[in-house]
Amino acid sequence: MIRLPLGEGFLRPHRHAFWLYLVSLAVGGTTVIGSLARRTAEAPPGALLLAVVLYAIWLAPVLWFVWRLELFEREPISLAAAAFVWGGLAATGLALAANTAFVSYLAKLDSGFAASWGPAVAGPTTEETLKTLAVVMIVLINRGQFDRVLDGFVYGALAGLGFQVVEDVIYALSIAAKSGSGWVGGLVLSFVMRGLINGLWTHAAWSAISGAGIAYFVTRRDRPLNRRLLVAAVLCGLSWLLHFVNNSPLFVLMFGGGGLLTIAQIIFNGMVTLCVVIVIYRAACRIEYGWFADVVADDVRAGLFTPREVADLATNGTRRRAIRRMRGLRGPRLQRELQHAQIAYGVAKSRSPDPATDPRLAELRRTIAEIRSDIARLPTRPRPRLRPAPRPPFHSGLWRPQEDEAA
Amino acid sequence: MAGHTRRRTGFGLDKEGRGATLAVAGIMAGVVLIPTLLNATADGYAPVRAGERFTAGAFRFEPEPSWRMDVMRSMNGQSVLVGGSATYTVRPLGRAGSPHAAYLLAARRLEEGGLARVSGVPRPFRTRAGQAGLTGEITGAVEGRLSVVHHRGRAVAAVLIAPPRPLPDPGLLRQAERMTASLEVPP
Repeated sequence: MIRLPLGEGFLRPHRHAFWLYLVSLAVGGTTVIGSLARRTAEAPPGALLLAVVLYAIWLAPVLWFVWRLELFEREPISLAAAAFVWGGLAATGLALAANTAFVSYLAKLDSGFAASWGPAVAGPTTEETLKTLAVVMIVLINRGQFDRVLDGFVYGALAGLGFQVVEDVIYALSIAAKSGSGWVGGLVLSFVMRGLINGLWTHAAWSAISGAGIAYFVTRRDRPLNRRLLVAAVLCGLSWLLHFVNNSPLFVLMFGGGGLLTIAQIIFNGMVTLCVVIVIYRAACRIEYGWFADVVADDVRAGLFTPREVADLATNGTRRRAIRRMRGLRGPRLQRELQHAQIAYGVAKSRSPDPATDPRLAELRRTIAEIRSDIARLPTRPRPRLRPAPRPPFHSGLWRPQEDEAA
Repeated sequence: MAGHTRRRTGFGLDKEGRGATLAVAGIMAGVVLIPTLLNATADGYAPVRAGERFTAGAFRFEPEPSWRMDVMRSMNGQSVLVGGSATYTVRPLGRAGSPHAAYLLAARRLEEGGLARVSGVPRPFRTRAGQAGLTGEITGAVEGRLSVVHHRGRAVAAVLIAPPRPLPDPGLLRQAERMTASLEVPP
């Protein structure tokens, strides 16, 4: 049967959410483009171009990094792009309107409070909600491509990145407009502060946390509903809290003002967020690896995978170490090909309605066997280990050190 | 999915996920509309505190205590103050090569609304901080004064507008002039 690409990614016009996505994009995009046009007119000529070039250069490796966070199954490009564009246009545009009204309302109640705490209250409330909805929209548009907690983490991070880049470009234009003849320096300084120093552990990190919460609720059907709700609420609350602390004047109130203090605050907030994100990412990876180990458990018993090979697939780090263990020119390449084939096999098997007769799986089994026989024919043996191999970070129950030593 | 029949609405859309999509639309509407409605129903004017400084772009100025800030209209980088029937707006103009270029730009933007016309030859003046400016008359459906201040390539417009009848309180006009004179770019 020919499978249309429509079902694989974003383009699913039979879903209500698909049309809501497009409407939201049009509404938010209109606001963003209007804001960009107004600020471009106020800024010196060339400011928009410089801001776009700087953030494009910054964005390329960051997108690659986020893309690599997925361990076994990369998300369809169209859905990943949809999450990114939602963050950049729909979430940013609606947040611009909502934040303006929110801070204005607070200013009417107490202008002093609004000046100090307005961004801390309004920013996380509107922005985190709208960015998290990117993950919900992806689930509603194509639930079939949303399988595990790590999916929500990655989609959330992509939505956050889109939001951050557009927001930062708007800020950069405002700074350029205020900086007079030294606008290039002002714009570059804004890029250094918001992009280089504060870039990775703000919007992308906060949205990744709440995205993991939504994904836990949606995908962990084996857990009680109360627990799923609690985990989702805690993670969404955590992303709100980290954003709130980042926007608040808490540091200034505790330690006084100053340029160095601002940098200290950025670094402190960044480190806290980074620690939280690493803990959640590792937990998501543990779930991901457990899923993969379960899928290929029969194949380990059948000899298609060794327990050690399954353990080597646990993280990008263990994969690299397994490749480095191979000597010679062909050894590392063959090991990499073996890993790719084994991952493709596990993913295809998880999606196959009948793994025993699936021709794609049969082909992958043959490929794995061929690569393994190529490795066995290598003139050089794998490099002997001088010390025991480290235990894989996530214990699947399959790998035991004595089996490996015996092998 | 094999053996699974999708239930569709009259428009060919899946019934599955319709409720959740409506909930998402409701949340989005709530995020934008709740603060917008709260803001629209709250009193829109905040009193000016003694010693307070307002900013507009790179410029700042000292508001007169008897004026009140129009909070909603002061959100987009400009400051809008209301005193009696008069409105005083300070709006950054961005880059301008000279005070004259800044004045022409501000006049064109003001006249785009169709209610006001900037007429006559503008007179030069200096703010208390010594920064150069031009000021001229506004006529038409409203009357008032357009002033621009220019400093190192950056410019700001201060627009005082009042209905022609009844004539605005001369005290308010003097206060507006003092606010314009306090415009400066902080060092």
